[in-house]
Amino acid sequence: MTLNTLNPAVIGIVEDDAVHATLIEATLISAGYAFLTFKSAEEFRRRNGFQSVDLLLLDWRMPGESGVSLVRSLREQESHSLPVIFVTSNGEEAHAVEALDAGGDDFLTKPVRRGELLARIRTALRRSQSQHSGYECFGPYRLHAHHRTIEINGELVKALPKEFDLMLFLFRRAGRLVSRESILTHVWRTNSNVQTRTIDTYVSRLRHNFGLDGRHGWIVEGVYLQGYFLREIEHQPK
Amino acid sequence: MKRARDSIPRQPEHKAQVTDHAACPVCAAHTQEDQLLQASRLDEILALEAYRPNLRAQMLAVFDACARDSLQDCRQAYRCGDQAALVHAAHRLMGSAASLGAERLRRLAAETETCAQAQADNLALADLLERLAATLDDTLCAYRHWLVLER
Repeated sequence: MTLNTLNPAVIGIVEDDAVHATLIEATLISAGYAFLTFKSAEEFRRRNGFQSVDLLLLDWRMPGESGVSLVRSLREQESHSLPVIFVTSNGEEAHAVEALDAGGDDFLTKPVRRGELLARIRTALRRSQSQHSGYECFGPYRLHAHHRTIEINGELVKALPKEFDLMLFLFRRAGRLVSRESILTHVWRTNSNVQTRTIDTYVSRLRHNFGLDGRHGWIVEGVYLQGYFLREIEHQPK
Repeated sequence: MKRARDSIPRQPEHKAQVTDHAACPVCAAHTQEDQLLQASRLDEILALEAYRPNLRAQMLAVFDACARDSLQDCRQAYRCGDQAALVHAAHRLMGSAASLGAERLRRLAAETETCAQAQADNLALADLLERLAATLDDTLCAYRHWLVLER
C-alpha cells in the first residue's frame, strides 16, 4: 500500500480486472490517497477489508460473489455506513438502480475518468465524514474526530496523535474483532506485512493512560494471533 | 511493419479536407468507432505516469496478459458451449479494453457479450472471436508504437 500524507482516507478497490485496478491505483496515487486492492469479494471478506478502508470502489461483476451481494451484506451489518461507489463496464440504468437500491452510494461507468472519479470520492468521503463531524460518545468517553480531543467523564485528556487515531479506530469498531493488519493499514498507513510490536505498545498505553482496562467500563482485549477487541463491560474489574 | 504514425487512429482520407470534424457526422462516426486507441485515454495514462513511473509499460504488460487470458477463456467457453462463461469472459475483456481506451476492441467484446447472451448461432460467435483476436493484436501493436512515440 502506498504511504501518503496528503489524504488520510484509505480507498478499497475490489476489482478482478487487473488493467482497471492498475489505472485506479495510479489515479488514487496522483491524488495522494492510500489504497488497498482486493481481487474479489471473497478476498475483501477474508482480509476484513471493511475494517481497513474509508471508502470502497466496487466492481459490479466479479467471479464468485458479485459487488451487489457484497454491499447488501455490508449494509446489513450493524452501524455499517462505509461509502461504496460501484464501477461497471455496463452503463445501463437497470444496473445503476440495482446498485443504488442495494446500498451503493454512487455509480460510475468504465472507463472512469480521473477528474470524475476523484470528485465522486471526495463527495462520498465528505458525506461520510459529516456523519462524524461532532462528538462521538461511548459511555464516559467522548471523542471529537475533527478537534482530535478525548474527554473521559467530562475531563479533557491529552493524547498523542496515534493514541487518538487508534482509540477512535477501536471505538468505531467496538464489539468487533479488529485485525492487526487493519490497524496497521488504517492507523499507521503502512504495509501490513511489516512486523511490529508498536500496536501492542500503543494498546498498552490506551489501557494504562486512558483507562481502557475496564476501569471506566470499557476494555481492550487481545485475541491471540488475531487482533484486538474493544468492548463495554457491565462491571468494572477488581 | 506499421509506421509509427499509425499508432494514432487512422482518419478517412476525405477528413483532411474537413476542418470542423465535429460538424461532419461521418467523420465523427469513423473517428469514434474505428479507433484502436482513444487519444484522450492515452493522454490520461501518460499524465498519470508522473505519479507512477513506468505506468504505460505496466499497463501494456497487464493488459496483454489479461486480454489474452480473457480471449482464451472466450474461446474455451465457446468450444464447451458454456454461454455463461463466454458472457463473463467477454465482459471482462470489454472492461479491460475500456480502461485502456481500446475502443474497437471494447466494442467487439461488447458485441460478443450481447451475442452470447442472446445465444446467437455458432458461426456468428466464431466470427466475432476471430475478429477479437485480430483486433487485440492490432491494439497491442498500436499501443507499443505509442510507447515508442512518447518515449
